Amino acid sequence: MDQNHSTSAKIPSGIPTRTARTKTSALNAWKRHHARCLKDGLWHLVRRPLSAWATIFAIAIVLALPGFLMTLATQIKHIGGALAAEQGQVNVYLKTGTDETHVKDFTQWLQSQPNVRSTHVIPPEQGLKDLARRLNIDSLDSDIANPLPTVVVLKLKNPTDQASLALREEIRNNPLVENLSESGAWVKRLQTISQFFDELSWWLMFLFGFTVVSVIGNTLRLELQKRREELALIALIGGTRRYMIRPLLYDGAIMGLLGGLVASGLIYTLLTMLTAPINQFAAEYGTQITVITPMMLTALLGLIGLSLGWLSAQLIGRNFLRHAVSA
Amino acid sequence: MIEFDGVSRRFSNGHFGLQDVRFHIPEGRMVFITGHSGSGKSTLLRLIPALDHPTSGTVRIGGHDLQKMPKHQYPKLRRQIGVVFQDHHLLPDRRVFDNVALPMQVAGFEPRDIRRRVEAALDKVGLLARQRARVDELSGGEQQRINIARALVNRPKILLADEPTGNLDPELSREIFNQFADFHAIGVTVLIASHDLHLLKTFAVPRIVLNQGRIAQIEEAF
Repeated sequence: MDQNHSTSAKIPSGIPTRTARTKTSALNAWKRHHARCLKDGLWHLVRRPLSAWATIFAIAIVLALPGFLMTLATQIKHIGGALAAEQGQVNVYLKTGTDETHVKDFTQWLQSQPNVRSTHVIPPEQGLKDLARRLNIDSLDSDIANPLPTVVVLKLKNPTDQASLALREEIRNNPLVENLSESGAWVKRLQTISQFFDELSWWLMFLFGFTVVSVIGNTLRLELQKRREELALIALIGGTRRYMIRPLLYDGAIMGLLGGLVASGLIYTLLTMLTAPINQFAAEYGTQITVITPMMLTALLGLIGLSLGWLSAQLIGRNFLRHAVSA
Repeated sequence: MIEFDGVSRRFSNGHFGLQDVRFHIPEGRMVFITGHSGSGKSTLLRLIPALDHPTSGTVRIGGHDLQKMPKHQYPKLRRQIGVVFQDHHLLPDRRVFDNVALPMQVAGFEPRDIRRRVEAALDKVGLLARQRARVDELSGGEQQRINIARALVNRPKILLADEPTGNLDPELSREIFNQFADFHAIGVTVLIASHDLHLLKTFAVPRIVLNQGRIAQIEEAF
């Protein structure tokens, strides 16, 4: 042993060289560790049911509100869509005395518009007959001059989009046109409301995402405090940061996933309870809401919960290891 | 193998844990580090697996300058070093087998290799029969032997022990030291920090004596 050193003793490198065989065993070890972390993560739900499920329910409630708004917006869209299909008819009243040639030209112009599905002309004589039939009169006195205008019944492909609104404006400004029905306006308003709810729910989801990250992060932070000595030991015996953080990622992701699934269950329950009043409203407008298991919503909330749980574990775990463990 | 070149460690309160420490321990040697409490023994041992870093000077392990080593290579370095503490650092909620197996699991060994080597390590420290026992069912001496088995199961090139017999009676302490001597005999470089001069004097092993963070004396084997 020399006090004044001289680098004489050379040992094989402390860092082993990787061979094909060690790569395979490293992959196997990696898979084994993932499997073990998953198993331990699930076992934590059984071993510490109170703290784990309290966190899961907190996540569920936080995710359920934007999820519910999202579902509601979809349902309003559904009602709006049904009404829009029904209300896609526009009655164009031409000026009295418009001759047949002009009517024919106008109708041809309408048919050439891309947003027009079909047109149907009701001449004044036909209109008079229909009126007589509705009034239960055999025939109206032919000596009286027919006061009814020619009506063109127009069916639009999408009555509430911008192109349809522009076409209405163009029709209204046509010198042959006296008036036209305005039935699609409130459908448009309904769709605007649903769009607002849709956007609001995404913003809420974004904001509440931070809450979910905090809730999961706090639970994991407590778990890390309990495991501080174990993590220090693993660092000492050569555990990598990824190795140390992996169980935490599984814990966070499992809690987030279950929180998302429970949130979906809460929304389904709430919708089922609200089906009757919603359908009463919807029936007045000739449509109906059917509450089915929201598979898309369940998958979406599960995925969001899982991602937020994983993100939270990453943030908390890395911060903890940086400050508390010499990894 | 282990080289300290003008190493100092100053803590945030201004106190020096080590000051200008220089020595070189060749591969396969067994060395005692001794001195009073607070003399810098533990600080010195913590620098070897890069659990702490010097404020000046260079620590080289196997020719590698630890300051220049990328952080992501520390785990690989630490897998080459076994560490035994005074206060055991065992996981009380796990069985003896699992505690000893931990370094091999971390290193990614196959389960059959883990079983074989853990059983061999437990056999070597005389606790094979207790492999299914929980750690908190064992005596202090048994726990320290588990600690030694865990430090050795990965077949490290270096074994560090920080006051390994601090809580044990003289007879057990001597038994533990004999086990360290056995590992030294098979080529492991062993560094033991202890203030038990009475025990250390019974072994023909070189000693580095620390005093207030400085090397006060290096006593060669007699």
